[in-house]
Amino acid sequence: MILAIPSFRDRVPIIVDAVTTLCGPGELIDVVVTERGIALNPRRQDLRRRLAKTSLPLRPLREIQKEVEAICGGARAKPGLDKNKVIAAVKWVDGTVLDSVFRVVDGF
Amino acid sequence: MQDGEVHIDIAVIAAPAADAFGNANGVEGKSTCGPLGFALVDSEYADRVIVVTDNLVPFPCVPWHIQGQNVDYVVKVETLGDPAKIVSGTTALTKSPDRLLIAEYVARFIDEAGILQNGFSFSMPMSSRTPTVISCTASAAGRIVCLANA
Repeated sequence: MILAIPSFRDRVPIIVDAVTTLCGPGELIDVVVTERGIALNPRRQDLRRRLAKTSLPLRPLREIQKEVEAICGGARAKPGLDKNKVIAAVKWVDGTVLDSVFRVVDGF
Repeated sequence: MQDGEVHIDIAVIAAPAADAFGNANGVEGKSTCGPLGFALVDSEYADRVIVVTDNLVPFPCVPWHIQGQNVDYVVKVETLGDPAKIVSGTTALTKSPDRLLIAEYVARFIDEAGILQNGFSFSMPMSSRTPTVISCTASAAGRIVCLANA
């Protein structure tokens, strides 16, 4: 699966250490394509071999993340969540519960 | 739908080509739209299925995505809609240079990684929350067609 995504939106970095809500397993993402570079999933060494001679800007995801955080002035602020208030569950297509959506605390 | 969590009473399916028995596809006629993916599932699980088409063809309509045995009624209309409006709003091609660059990278990646083959399945997530993804992949899709023809 190819994830085509801008490295930041409205001055907010898109690549984070941990997402607020998990909507899909990361192991299914083979490549992340941003305007600042292309990051391959380390599990897909076969793709890396196929692209050995490419002029495409292959970069580690972490490197793109650091560059964007420098531009935007830091990592994205984590939302304040009330871990006791679940308002929705995220289910994968096979019914597995991937994550819970928690209520955002007042004043955030 | 398979698990019965969602029950469909009536499915009205717009088909760019259909025969009188309800066999239908999305790849022929003046309103071609590609595979009738979601409609296919609807046709299998809805209590009543109505196929609406602006292109009634002689039996059999081949290839068929929708099978006539799942269809109760076929209705002929003058036009299904305006295809020019499909590419509008969040599905409009972006003019943003960095997002066009992402599209270019995606197209080149697919080409150079050698993953474009006969029978290649291309799926494009549609979401108003992620218009960028749509515009990027839409551009890439255009390139894929070109590459496939080349």
